[in-house]
Amino acid sequence: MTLDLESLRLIGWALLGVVMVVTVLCEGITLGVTLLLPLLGTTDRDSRRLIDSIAPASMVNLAWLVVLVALLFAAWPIAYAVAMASLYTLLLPILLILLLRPLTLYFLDDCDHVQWRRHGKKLLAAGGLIPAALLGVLVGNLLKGIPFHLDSDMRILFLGDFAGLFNPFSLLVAAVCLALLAMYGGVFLQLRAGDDDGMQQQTKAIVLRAGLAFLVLFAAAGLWITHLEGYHINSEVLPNDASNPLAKFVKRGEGLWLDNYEHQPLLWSIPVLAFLAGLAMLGLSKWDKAYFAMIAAALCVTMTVLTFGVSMFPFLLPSNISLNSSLTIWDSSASQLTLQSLLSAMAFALPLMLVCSRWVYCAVDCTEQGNVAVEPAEPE
Amino acid sequence: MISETVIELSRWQFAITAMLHFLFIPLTLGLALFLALLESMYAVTGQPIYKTMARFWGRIFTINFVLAVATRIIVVFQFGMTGSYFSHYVGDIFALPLAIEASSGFFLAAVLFGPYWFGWEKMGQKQHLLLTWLMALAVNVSAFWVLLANGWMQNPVAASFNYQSYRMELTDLDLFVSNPAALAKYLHTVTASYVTAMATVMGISAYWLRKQPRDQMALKSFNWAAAMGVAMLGVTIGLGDTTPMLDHPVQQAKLAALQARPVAALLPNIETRIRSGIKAYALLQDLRDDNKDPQLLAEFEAHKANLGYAMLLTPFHKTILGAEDRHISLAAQSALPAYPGLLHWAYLFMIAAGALSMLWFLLAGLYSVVIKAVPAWLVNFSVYLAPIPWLACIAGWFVAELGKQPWAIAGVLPTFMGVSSLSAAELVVSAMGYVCAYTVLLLVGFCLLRQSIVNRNIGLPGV
Repeated sequence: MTLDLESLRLIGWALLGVVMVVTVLCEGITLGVTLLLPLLGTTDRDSRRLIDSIAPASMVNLAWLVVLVALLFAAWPIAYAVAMASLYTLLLPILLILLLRPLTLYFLDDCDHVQWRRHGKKLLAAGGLIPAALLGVLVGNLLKGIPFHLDSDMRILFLGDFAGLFNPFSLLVAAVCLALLAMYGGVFLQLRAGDDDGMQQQTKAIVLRAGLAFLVLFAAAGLWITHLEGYHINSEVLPNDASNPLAKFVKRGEGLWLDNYEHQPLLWSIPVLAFLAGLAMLGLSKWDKAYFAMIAAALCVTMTVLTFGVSMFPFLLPSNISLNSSLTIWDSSASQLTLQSLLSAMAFALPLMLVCSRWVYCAVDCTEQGNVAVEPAEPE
Repeated sequence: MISETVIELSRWQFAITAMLHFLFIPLTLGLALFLALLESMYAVTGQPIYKTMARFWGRIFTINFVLAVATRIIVVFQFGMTGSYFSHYVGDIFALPLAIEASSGFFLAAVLFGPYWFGWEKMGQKQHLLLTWLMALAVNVSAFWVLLANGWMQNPVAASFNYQSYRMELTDLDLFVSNPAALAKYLHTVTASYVTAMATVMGISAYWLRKQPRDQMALKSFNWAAAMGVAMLGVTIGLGDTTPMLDHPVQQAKLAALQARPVAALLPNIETRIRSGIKAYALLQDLRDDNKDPQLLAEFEAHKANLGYAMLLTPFHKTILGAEDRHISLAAQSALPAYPGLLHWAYLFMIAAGALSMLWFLLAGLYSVVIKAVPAWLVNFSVYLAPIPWLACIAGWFVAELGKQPWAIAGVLPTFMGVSSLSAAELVVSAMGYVCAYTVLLLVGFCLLRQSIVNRNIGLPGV
């Protein structure tokens, strides 16, 4: 079966969306729980419980992040290149902390090194806070546009500065992100806390506060977007042409990110659902329906990510300094053969990946329910 | 043109992060298979010692695997961060195997890792055995895709320049997947990794045997590793020298440098290619100005394979167009390996280290499998010989990558073209960040390994 380039690009975009949603759903648990570590893990026993609830599956969560980045690289090479090079300073702290996080998750109590004993837990807590906040800043900047320029041989120039990335709007998005992840991680813990009453009450209180904060901040960001400068392709779109980001004209204007919703009013259901799912989660968590609260929280996360994706369509990376350099799904994709091969491989892999991820969480869940007796094997 | 400092810093940053990832690969590949074998032995014979062994080497594997995944994340981002032009220019081809790898082998290994380590007591024996075999398969599949990308950098087949998108694009999937350079590289790297992992097992076992000569677990581990190492050497020798003879001038220059032959004979060929590349570059400018003349296009098609050679001119004549003969000869000179002596010696070192490990494995195999008694001198030697295959691996990696310089993609894209337009300050700050983070990583990793080896605390799963 051969598809034309236009369909391949659309499917590729949808695939990126799916992988992004799953990445946030999975990695969000690790980030959310580690985010709550300073609040909930005050005693050694509690922090042990928190870590045990995420450690077994944390490798899978990280793997989704790797898949997301690799998929972006393969399907939209220049978008990957621009994002990585332009956001270099923003990504660096995230990477450095992610480099050490697996060690803190798996071997926090195992290593006898004095400094490690003293600072390991702090490092782990930073492994939640820093990536969660900076990823929010990153998303905020994607919506605002990144100050990059492509010259005629496609060399990428970043013309902004580090401080400029921390503008008020992106800080607001970072706050949305933190509240969302704290809420999500909290509900996950509430689900896992089982019959431990102290933990239950504590997490519930956090979930309620974080959930309320999220709803308020999400609404505020929504209002701000109506006045934020969005982007729009001003020239004819040629979805079947070879990728050349410089062959189009882009305009920028207030409220243009709402364009898609105006053309397709059905899309309004996505942000509305995010909001409603958030509300439902608050109620369910309050009345101790942890399982359904978890489903509502996951729906809320999904819809929030989709809101971001749908608003930006067809843009991947708008440039606010050289508008026509902006990258869209139509003009920065890989070639037809590469997209075709990639999508065929993913058509097989993705369902399996989803099943495997769900299975790991089940396997972990069984451990939690205590039908395991972990005993050290005797060395000979 | 990007400053020399930025180019050097970017290139070193990339090389070091990639090498620190590669450091954890041989043990991951080799131990996974070793573990699967040990667990199978436990399933077949039911002797608890195999389980103890699987648990202990499983712990060493775990530490190594966590470090390999952690360093892997950095590499995934590094291509774009320090090599953004590289990522744009060849991403269409280079990233495809990486994406497939991430969602197949790498993902499977990551999924299985949690249940593997936390499920020892919880799962049925057969289930866990299946899981271990799947993980061994997954890491080997993963290595194939990564080396496909890596081999393509040495021998860029199935790619052609598209003037509209200004980059290399994939032309033939089958040809790409069956790249002879990648297949040879895969076999070579995987067998070398197995030998290295087995050497590590033998080294650690020998360390215990020195303390306690009747140590059952150490003896068994030593014997198994020796047997597996000999088998792997047999495979390596059976495969022979599978490295294909590539008629690429880049590979010829590398080969000449390795054998300490003079490389100057290649210069005329390179100069011809540079001239052809200049023509392609000139035609490209016309095409980019929206000139769709079919004759122009046909002429461009004829010369575009050498476009990368024209890029070699940029350090000597910035605009490429209008380069004089002296520029061309300087550029041709720069296309030859910069340090042929270093390459030659690194290559000799790799061969010598390989030969030494071969001798060691043969002796170990002879004593432990045939004579069934390992003499004390061999045990002593084994402790000190363990790092030799490691050094051979690193030397091999070094020879392959340095030998390709000045190219990032042989004959297609010079390394200095591929780097991002970052500032030197950004790179210095990030280099300091990396030094700090990697120091912590390596220290903790080393500390964990040392503790496990000395105390043999197989006990509690991971956390």
